[in-house]
Amino acid sequence: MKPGLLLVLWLVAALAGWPGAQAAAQAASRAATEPAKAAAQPAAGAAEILVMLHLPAPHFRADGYSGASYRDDAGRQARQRIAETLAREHGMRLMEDWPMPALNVDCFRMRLAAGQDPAAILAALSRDGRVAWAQAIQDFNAQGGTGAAGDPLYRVQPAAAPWQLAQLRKAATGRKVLVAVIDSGVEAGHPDLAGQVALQENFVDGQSYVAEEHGTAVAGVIAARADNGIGIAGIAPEARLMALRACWQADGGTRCNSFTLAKALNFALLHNAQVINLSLSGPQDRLLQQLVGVAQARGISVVGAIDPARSDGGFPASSPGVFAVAADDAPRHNAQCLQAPGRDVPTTMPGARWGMVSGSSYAAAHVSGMLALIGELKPQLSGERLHEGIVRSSGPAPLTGIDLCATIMRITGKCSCACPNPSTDKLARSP
Amino acid sequence: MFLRMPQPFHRQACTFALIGLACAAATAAQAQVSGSAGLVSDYLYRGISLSSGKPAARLSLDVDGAHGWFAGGQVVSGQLASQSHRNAQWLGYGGYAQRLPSGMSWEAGMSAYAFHGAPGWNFREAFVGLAFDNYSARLHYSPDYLGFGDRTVYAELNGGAALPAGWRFFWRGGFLAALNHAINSRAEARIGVARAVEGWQLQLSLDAARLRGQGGSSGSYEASPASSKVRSKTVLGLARSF
Repeated sequence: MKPGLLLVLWLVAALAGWPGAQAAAQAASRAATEPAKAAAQPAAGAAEILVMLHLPAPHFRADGYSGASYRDDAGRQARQRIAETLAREHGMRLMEDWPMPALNVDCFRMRLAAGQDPAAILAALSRDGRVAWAQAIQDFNAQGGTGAAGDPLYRVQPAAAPWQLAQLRKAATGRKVLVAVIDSGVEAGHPDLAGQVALQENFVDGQSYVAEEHGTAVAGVIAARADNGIGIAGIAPEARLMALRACWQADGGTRCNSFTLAKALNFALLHNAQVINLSLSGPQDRLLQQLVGVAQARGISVVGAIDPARSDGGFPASSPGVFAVAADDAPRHNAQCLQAPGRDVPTTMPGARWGMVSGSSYAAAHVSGMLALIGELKPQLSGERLHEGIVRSSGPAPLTGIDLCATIMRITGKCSCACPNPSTDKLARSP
Repeated sequence: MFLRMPQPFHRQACTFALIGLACAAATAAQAQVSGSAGLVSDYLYRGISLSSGKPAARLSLDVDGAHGWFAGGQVVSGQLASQSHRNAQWLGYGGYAQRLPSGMSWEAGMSAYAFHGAPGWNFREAFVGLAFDNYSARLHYSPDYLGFGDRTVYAELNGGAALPAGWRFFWRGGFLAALNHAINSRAEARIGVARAVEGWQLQLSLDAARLRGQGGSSGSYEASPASSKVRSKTVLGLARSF
């Protein structure tokens, strides 16, 4: 037998039983099983961090393994090995990973041992050539509370009369516009939401998808069915929802974190959302900021709820180009802030119920619905141009609340209702 | 029969230089090293068998740098039609790939093939490609494909989709255009399913090639009167990825 062939056979046999290969396989297996065991919240006193490793672009490989999904790429085991090594070197526990091709990184969640200083480990990782970057996992909170013919509750919807929703529906309903609701779980089977949820995914580890109050309420404001004889009418009743559960109900509130939100944003990017609704707020976050930036670069409109308790309104509302929205009964936060109905808003609730809600979360949902309407009429307008047309073009006069009919008239040149201001924006004349 | 070029040892040197580059890059701290080792029931390359229809072992290595550069190599226990026993067939490659803000990615690179015991078959190619979601397209240009003195362009389109229970479906369509001798052009296609289980990769595919004026499917490249034949074969592969 030729030496070359012998070499090949020896290498195959050696690698089949190679400890490194076995360790890699075990690592991959562990990583695949850890998420099921990992709780949504770290154990008390055990902080978690995110470690980003470079995710190469797909390219020619001799073995030709081309994954059918971004989670099935051939080089994943290489990154698993590096992550295992990093976790071992710093005394951490590798929990799971989530490739984010939009950012060219594979994001590894790692849990620190009790008493470890996250700042020291992050500083050490930032100097490590194997690591693209690393950051702490931060907490975010939903910005709204819940209480408990056509559409019986339509008349009490605060947007019904001022936004002339009934007349507007003659011109636009948000038909086929895909709106990602990154929130707690949405009750897709609610009678006022039946058929409105096109995609549903859970990104909260250790839990299955469940219907929750905040997500269901936000979804209802955006896209509850109209003229179905029950409940309310959404601002864009023919929009399609992507119900991405990145938040969970806990301690009377709705919580999310950097990792769950990043996974959901990554999913929304991969599935071509046209509007992303983030009715939540928290601190500045590098990973989320980059994902929002990619969304904006792809023309997606991103809507964030303002947290009145934070001086900058909180992230993502404070991020440039994001539609930052406050409730119209709250003080105007800054010149770039939009105000929309956000007090005593009737909307859908889990258990096939309806209830009244208040907060900037629901004001943001109104703006997401508005953007879906515009998206139907002017699908070629990017989120950046819309932001320019709606927010920055509002001039020095403070916006006390959106005049939806006038806004749509100005942006699209189309309106079926009595528009107080017939002037149209240059965007209306664009193709 | 085509005339063979003089033995192109510089092509063999190019192959091992690229493999050496991959090995050198693998030692860098930020390098991501992956690969696979395994067996295939028949080593089909663009529609023709390079293992005389016999099973072959293959080992591949791929190295990704932090800034988009990549390199790699492969060795297969192949057997050309003119050979009486298996010989190592080497492949080295290197290039650059980048993902664009739109989500699409592009790549450009070169590859070099060396056949132990048949250096006249050695050849090099340059390639460019695009990939998006689960699809990729690539164009390869060779000034002297398989050493036959024929300039060729090979176009391939690949796709895949996830199936239930961890399986995935994949397909490829390819066309090799022989620029000097159109009779040597051929179309090929591959369709199959694969599954990864704890580091093991199992693939089952149906490979088909439409040969124009070629006498055999075992690496022979002899012209026969113009005709068109479709040959197909089921191929099973098992590999350990690392």
